[in-house]
Amino acid sequence: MAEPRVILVTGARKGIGNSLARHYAGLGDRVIGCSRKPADEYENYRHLCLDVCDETAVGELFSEIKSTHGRIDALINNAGIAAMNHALLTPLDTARRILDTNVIGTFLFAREAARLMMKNGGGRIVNFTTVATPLRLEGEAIYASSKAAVENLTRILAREFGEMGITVNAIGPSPVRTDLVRNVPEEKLQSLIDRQAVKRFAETADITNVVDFFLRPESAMITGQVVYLGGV
Amino acid sequence: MEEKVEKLMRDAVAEFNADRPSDQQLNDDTLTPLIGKSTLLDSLDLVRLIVAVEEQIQDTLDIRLTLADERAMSESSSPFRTLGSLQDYILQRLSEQDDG
Repeated sequence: MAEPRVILVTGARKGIGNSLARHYAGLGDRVIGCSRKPADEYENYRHLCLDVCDETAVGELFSEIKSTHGRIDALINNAGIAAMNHALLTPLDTARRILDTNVIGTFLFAREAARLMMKNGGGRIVNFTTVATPLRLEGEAIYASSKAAVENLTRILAREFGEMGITVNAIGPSPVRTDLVRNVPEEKLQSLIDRQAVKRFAETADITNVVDFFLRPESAMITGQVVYLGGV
Repeated sequence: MEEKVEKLMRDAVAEFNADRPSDQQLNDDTLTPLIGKSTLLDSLDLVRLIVAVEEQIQDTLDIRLTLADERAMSESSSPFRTLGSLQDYILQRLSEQDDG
């Protein structure tokens, strides 16, 4: 049997991150998850608390992964926050917090993971964007802009890390029923879904399917790609 | 501290050389050029070497030092000229950390 993969999932306490962590732990992979708040641990799953923008804490997390596992095979850069609001009513602190978590956090984890992956001949990095970016959704100016930055980060990191055998891709889920969309009015969600080719809410399994594809050994030539769900 | 840094530099070069063909081995001499026409390294090699040195610093001294920061890039004479100049730059940065 193949050696279990070492997979790091950020924002693993709830929602999509939690589903992905449980999925890979269930497959027998060694999964390390992190979030700001504590979460239950289970077989093949270890949880650590940190802020994804805290360089020191993130450095310590990777030192621990290095000493415990000696490598990391995949980073699922899922941690992200959103705040739906009209631009005229968006506080600057909120804008900064979204950019920090979504852009700086994604960059910091990718940088640290790649440093470890390059020593072992490669790895997989999966970032998270959103259909709000290509749809230019009103009310999501900062969130969609932060994810536009993540998309460009994905494409450029793919080039910079390509020679090291590291692929960097992004998935852009369409609306899934998680906390992230809890405060979005139902009619707003429905009008968004009506703009998709496949007019339904996404399930976590739809996301897992794409991440599985990016993580497959056969996907070594798939890099710098952004895959949106729902056909936007 | 100087001896420790000399050793970790040698270890970093050895680790860096491990993945390179025999005719592309980097000499761990202080005069070995890291940039310019006479170096064996391309830009990605230099990135790998700097990462290897930073990791050796962290593993042996338990200090996280970012070498290619804005200050290093703005020095009139690049600290990445030779292995020796890089070593001097590391010692300088470490002594500043001690000073507070």
